[in-house]
Amino acid sequence: MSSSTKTAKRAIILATVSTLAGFCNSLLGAGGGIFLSLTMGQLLLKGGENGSFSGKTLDRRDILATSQAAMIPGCALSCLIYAQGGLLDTTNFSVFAIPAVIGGGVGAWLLSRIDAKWIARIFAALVTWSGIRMLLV
Amino acid sequence: MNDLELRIVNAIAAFLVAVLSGLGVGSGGLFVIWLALMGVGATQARGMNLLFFVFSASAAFLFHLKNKRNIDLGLAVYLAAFALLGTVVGGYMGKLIEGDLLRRIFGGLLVLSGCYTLFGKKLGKKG
Repeated sequence: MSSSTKTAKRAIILATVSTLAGFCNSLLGAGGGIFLSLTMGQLLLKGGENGSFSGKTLDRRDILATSQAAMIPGCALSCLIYAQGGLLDTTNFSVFAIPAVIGGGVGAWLLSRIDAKWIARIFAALVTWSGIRMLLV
Repeated sequence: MNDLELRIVNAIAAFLVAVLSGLGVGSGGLFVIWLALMGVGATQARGMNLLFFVFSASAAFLFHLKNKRNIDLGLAVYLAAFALLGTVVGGYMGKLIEGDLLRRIFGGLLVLSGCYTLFGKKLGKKG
């Protein structure tokens, strides 16, 4: 398979999974980004080595950060849709907002300082936990 | 627990979940469970979880930008465009689809993916 065909195939798969991730986030309120991260890891990392999509070299941390960034606009739109339907009560949200911002920053800081193997393990454990919760709750 | 204590406990829990969110490893399930423990209804919890993610992920994104982490912005914009499309479709189809069924299918796939990453020999070698 030629390099351009491979890139086109990856682009189609990533577009499909992103669409599904946005769809799931909208319906379930969580979880879509996990599939996007997993798919990106499978497609863009080869044998644990760095990979690339549009010329930039990406490691596991970059993939987590990129997939997270990609989910922000969709989640913001979902919030608007929820609010429009009267399904988002922000009266008690103030207590969570500042810890969310500080914690998000601390997590991003930690991302560069934690061993990639541990990030993968934490990620996999949370994926499994989220799945079990979705099956049982 | 009085109101102040409750606020402090909520803030600590939110901080810990946000750290995981900032790591990019996902945390939505944990925050939804926390909200459920605090007596927030499932639908409201979903909306609050999305808003929580927007706050924590935006902070992480700005941190990465400031520190020049190698985020592929072109790829992020490409993925975000399709995620927005999925969000719009999900927003309008939400009433037509059986949410319970979708959640269980999705949950099963997550368990398989997680176990594969944790215990699969092929991925284990990748580190």
